[in-house]
Amino acid sequence: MVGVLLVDDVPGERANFEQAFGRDLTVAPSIDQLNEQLRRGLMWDLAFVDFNLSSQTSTGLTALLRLHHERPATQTVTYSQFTESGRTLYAAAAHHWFKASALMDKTKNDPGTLVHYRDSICNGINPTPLPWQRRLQWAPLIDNLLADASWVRVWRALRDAAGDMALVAELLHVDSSSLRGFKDRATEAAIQFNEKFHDIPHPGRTRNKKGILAAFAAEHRHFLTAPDLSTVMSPGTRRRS
Amino acid sequence: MIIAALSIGSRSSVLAITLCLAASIGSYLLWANERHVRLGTRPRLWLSRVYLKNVIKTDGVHRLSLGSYFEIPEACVLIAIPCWIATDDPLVARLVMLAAATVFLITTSLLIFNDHTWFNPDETDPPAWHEIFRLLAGPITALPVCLIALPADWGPNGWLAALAISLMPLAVVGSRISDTDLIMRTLSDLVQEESHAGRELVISEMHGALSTNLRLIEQRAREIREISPSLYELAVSANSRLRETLTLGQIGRYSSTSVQNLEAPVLTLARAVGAKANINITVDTLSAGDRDLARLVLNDLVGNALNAGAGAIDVAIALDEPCVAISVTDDAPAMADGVWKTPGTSSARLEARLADLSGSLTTVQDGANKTVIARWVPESECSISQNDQVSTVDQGPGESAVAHGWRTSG
Repeated sequence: MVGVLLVDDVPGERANFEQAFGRDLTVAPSIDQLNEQLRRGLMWDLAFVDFNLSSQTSTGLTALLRLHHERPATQTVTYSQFTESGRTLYAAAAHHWFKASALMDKTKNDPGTLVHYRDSICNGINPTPLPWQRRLQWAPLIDNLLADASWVRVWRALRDAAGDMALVAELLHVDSSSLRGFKDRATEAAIQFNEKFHDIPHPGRTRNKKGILAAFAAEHRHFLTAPDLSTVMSPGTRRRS
Repeated sequence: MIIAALSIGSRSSVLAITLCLAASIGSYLLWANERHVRLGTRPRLWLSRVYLKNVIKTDGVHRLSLGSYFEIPEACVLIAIPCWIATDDPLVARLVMLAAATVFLITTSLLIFNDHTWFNPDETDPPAWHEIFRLLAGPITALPVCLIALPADWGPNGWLAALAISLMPLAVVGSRISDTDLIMRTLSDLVQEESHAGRELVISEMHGALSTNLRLIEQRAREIREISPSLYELAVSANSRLRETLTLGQIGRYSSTSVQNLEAPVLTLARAVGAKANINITVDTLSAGDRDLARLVLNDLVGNALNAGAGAIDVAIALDEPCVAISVTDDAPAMADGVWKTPGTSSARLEARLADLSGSLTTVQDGANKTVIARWVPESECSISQNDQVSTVDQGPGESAVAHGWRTSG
């Protein structure tokens, strides 16, 4: 028997999982319920973790962090619809920060594929589609995009300021010269991430940093404004005791 | 009213009082209507309703509203009263009357120059005279006051005060117009941001409510595609249309029914497996029926390519007179012999569907890349050929049914 956990707030998502795993399935629609299940000592071999949990305080990142600490033996699958805002960053974060075993797009969650994922992962085979596997080799770029905990605030402000660093400095009450390092490094990281994950060609020497950063912040706003991002991104938080 | 009250109070000439009372009616109507416009209410008085309906309405054309033709001479008369008629009144009373009349002219001037027909942020090429008049609105307003008021007899102590009052429009009108311009510029962005935020909220809610269920319906319908192909097509259409509608969340997208939006379901399919997708749509318009068929074709061809392990796909939707052609090129391993279009496969079903529309389904293997092309005659072409047929043959009762029947899904 292989215990499977689904962390997803949408009730409809369970249908295929119930068909695939029957009584081996546990569902945690929220972090509170996941915590409760962890307290009760439930164990799983495999966990499918969605990003959006319709919560003001947590996302799938918190679920991954909890499982990372409390159930280190549980293998995780990044489970989301990857055309949606910020989901590629979620995929990169789950792969790089939490060593997620595989990735599954929600549009591919028919019972047959779910069983195939479970069997493959249990047999040490990565069932993630090959193109995704190639892209996830670049998952460490997430650390360049979020090189410091303070950058989370900068990304958030960037979206409100439409890429204008002077306005970002004003919003954050800091000197604009202190943001120069962010601007240069984050632009380079955003270009690389766009290239490797979104097939957006390198803009070359004519790049417009303001435009690139504004577009990136808008495109990935759901991840970059995630309420638990600054907690989860810290290596100290992720370190197992 | 201030001028009328002061004229009566100081027992001015009957002419001054009569003119003031007449002007007061105009001032009252102006004030009452401004109040109604601000509060969003309708006037109850007959005269006020007529005034609102016929006199101060704006029609979006660069011209003065009818009311302005009454208000401008009215303001001139009001200015003339303290200057030339009520000359026996005390200086202070005359200056107060002049100030009140000038304020009335300023209000009239602001109503004219702050009218939206004079300043539209979306207007990229406004007429030059229009901009020059707005720039000179202050001096234009001050000029009649100066011309009427300054030649009058104000005594040695009153002239400077009258000059100061006469020049008041220079500062007030210019600054108020400049303020309005700034507000209008900001307002446009603000309205756009707010409407986009509202649209994003609706889309997010719609996505939350429908996305999972439509996806599951499509999965289930695929399982019974043999039994109920029309149900499967409806499910594909609904799911794809949701994807297309979700693109309205992007800034600059105002319609989900443009042909360009057909890329959304393709990107969703490609992103699911991490494949690279390049989509080129050169068709300008497709009828609703053709868009539905295009969704089905794209779902089928792209889905098959990705399921076969494609890492990159090129999709083109173009006109290939008289047909619409959808081609999907992929780098997946070549198909095994005996699979393509064998009975019961999705390719066989699709070919039959396209054949009903004088179309075809073909494939070309070029080295490592395979291109599958679906062609069909679009509805507009069908109606043209159908009309030709109708015009050349005697139309019997059965022909219309036959002509419509060939568009019926199989």
